[in-house]
Amino acid sequence: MNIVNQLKNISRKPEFPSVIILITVIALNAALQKNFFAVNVINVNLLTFTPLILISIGQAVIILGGGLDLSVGTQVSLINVIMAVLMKDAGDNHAAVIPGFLAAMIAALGMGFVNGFTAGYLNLPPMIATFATSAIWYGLALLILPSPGGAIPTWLVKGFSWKYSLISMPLIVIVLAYLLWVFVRRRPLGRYIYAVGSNEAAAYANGVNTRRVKLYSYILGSFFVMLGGFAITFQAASGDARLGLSYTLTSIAAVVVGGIALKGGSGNVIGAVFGAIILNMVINLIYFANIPSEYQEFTKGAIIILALALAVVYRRRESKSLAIS
Amino acid sequence: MENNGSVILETKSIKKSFGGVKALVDGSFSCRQGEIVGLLGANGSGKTTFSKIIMGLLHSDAGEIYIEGQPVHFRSPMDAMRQGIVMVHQQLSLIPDLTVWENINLGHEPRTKIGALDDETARRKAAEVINRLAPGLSLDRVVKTLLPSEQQLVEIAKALSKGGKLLILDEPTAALEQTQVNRLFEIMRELKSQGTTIIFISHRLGEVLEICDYVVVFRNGANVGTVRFEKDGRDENRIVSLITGKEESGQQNGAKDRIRSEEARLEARHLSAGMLKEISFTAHRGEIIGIGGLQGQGQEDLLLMLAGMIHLEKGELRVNGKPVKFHHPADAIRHGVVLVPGDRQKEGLFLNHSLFMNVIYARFGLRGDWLIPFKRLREEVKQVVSTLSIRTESLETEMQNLSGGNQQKVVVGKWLPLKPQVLLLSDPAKGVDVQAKRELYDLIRDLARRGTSVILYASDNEELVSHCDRIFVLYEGQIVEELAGAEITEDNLVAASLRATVKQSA
Repeated sequence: MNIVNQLKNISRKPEFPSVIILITVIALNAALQKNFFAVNVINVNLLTFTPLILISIGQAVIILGGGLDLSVGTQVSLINVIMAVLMKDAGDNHAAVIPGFLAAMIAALGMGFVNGFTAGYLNLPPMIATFATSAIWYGLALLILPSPGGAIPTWLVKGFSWKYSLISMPLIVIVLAYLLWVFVRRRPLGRYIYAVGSNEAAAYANGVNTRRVKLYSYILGSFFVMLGGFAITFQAASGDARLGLSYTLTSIAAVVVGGIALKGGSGNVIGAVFGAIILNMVINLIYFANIPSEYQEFTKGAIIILALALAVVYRRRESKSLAIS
Repeated sequence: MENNGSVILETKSIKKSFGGVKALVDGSFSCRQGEIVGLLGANGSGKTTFSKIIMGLLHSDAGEIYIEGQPVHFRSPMDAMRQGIVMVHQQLSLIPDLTVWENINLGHEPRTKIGALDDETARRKAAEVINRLAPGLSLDRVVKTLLPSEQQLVEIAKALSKGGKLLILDEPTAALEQTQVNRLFEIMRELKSQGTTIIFISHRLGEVLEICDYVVVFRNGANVGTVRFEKDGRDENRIVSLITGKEESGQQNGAKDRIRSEEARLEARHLSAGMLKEISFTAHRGEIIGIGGLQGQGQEDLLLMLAGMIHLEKGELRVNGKPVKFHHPADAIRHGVVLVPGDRQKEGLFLNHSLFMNVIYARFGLRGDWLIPFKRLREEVKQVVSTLSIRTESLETEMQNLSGGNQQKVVVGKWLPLKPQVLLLSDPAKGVDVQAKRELYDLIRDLARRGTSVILYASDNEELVSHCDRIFVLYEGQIVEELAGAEITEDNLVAASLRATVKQSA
């Protein structure tokens, strides 16, 4: 009886459909790729998935708070070129990479601040405001590095792909990032993010400083995006202002597939992690299924729609049955 | 007696207008420690605006506020809360996606020594007030899944758990049942004895007479008088005439002056959907049928089903003798079956659109015009506005700038040009003042006299008793009793509602 109830509770969680989809894609992937569960294959997959996972966590935090960030992609780009330019001549001198990290971090928090300020304090619609700031970040990235170049010291690149059996550097970073969110959820800010996303006027009437909460949600989101930027940069080992562009909409798709409501206030960040893995796996699937290249994009779109439909329809039905019971 | 307490709140000629509509002209008010003050007035008299200004949610255009003699200037609710002012909002201020206990603690969460959320203490604090106010309500329910009355109780519990020296209750009882109201009053008396000042805003005169020490009446945005019960007596008529500005003319029963016809307008045969089971009845031309019973027995669902918003699972529906199937509200509207929904702000109105647009949206369910004939419609809307004496700056005024009572008139009035066959009303007078309520029911009676069948659900039994030809009592989605003619009294209705529960459990 207790197990039945527990299962029922699990099936009520908003990220439940994404778990089912995730298991399905993993099964399909395993069927198509013989050594899918081999330790080094898992590690390689995780390494390539890491950027989207981290960026989606950032997007999830912002969407949960009732916002939206169309500039995460170019934020990644700007972080990438800053690091590639400042670390170009660092070589084996470990201390020489510090300015690069510091500048990237300042840039990330600054971009989060600007987005949060426009959404929270100027009350601009986030879809347009962050669309505009995304152009600014891209423009800055192009100014810093007009054509692909720069370099990341080899020891950093190697360090990021460090692994011991299943424990790898990307896994550690993802776990630490998630723990940071768990920590925030344990503080009032975490609850206020949900409150503002769910009903901003009511939160305000309860004495919640809604503007500051929105500001913080964007800054926190940008911090996770920055970690994603690091991950990409250490894989690319060089700088390119166009590197992050595709991540904006993909991260939003990952968040929604993960069971987080686009209007904010409901869902769990772990769902965004599942969503990101699902979207990456879909790309793997298409590759291993030997689909002719001209059909790949088409197939990718169709599968994402399917996953989205499953997640959204399920949530709709679930909230209806809750309202009746 | 209590009048020697110190003055807690004093306001001097507060003014406020919204887009040309003057909501508050002269908001002057004062109250002392340990008093329960009734704040009364018609919808649009400025009560809610006044309390929102005190709470820091709105900023006054002019005037002064003093808390314990000190001038204050609240820029946000946080400022007001710091001074110990707490408010229960009419449009509830709950977060739909959070649980009961999270909502109760929102904005003043207990923390551990290291600054993390202390959920254990938070739950304990929530349990304390919930056990007193709504025993049996689970703390872990998500607020959006609660019944309206339960949500109202959580909203009250949240304010009580904050403590505070001045508590403003804006229509806290509109969604509550009698036992719930009694529990609330018990707590209010206890708070009063501990020195808390309470401003109680309500349209239910009986409750105000029972709980308050005195009442202050607002009319058209100004304080027009105070009735002190110990000095002036608990004189209901005097309060009503202050509210309306007219001499009270006595309640008249509308059911008597209409001729009933045997012509069937709406026939329901064995309808089932969701919680509704085997609903059968016939509504005749010009008849007003009431839907009564305890709260949450499927009354709202019944209206939604008849309006085509909830799909029939079984049964047959006829309008004017012809069988009909409603797949969509538009189907119902085309057959002349129209609904005035319970939550006017959420389901009935487009608050940021103009009055004009709100009235003409009603006809978008009809086919016909290829282009919208704005000129003709404008005349039609003008007619509606004057028939219902809707107080507005112009036809272009945004809906949200109209007062609650005027908004409600629009929700009903938009159907008038369509000459509805069947009018479904879901608690149309909820939170509407005495005068607007009377105008509303005059209008409904007038429609019935001209042949419309009316099916009315009201949470207030008195409204059902004074306006209906027949009343169906619902229990767990079934019609369990029917009252007609001389049987229709408030006592009989309450008895029938309670009898249903006994029958079922026996």
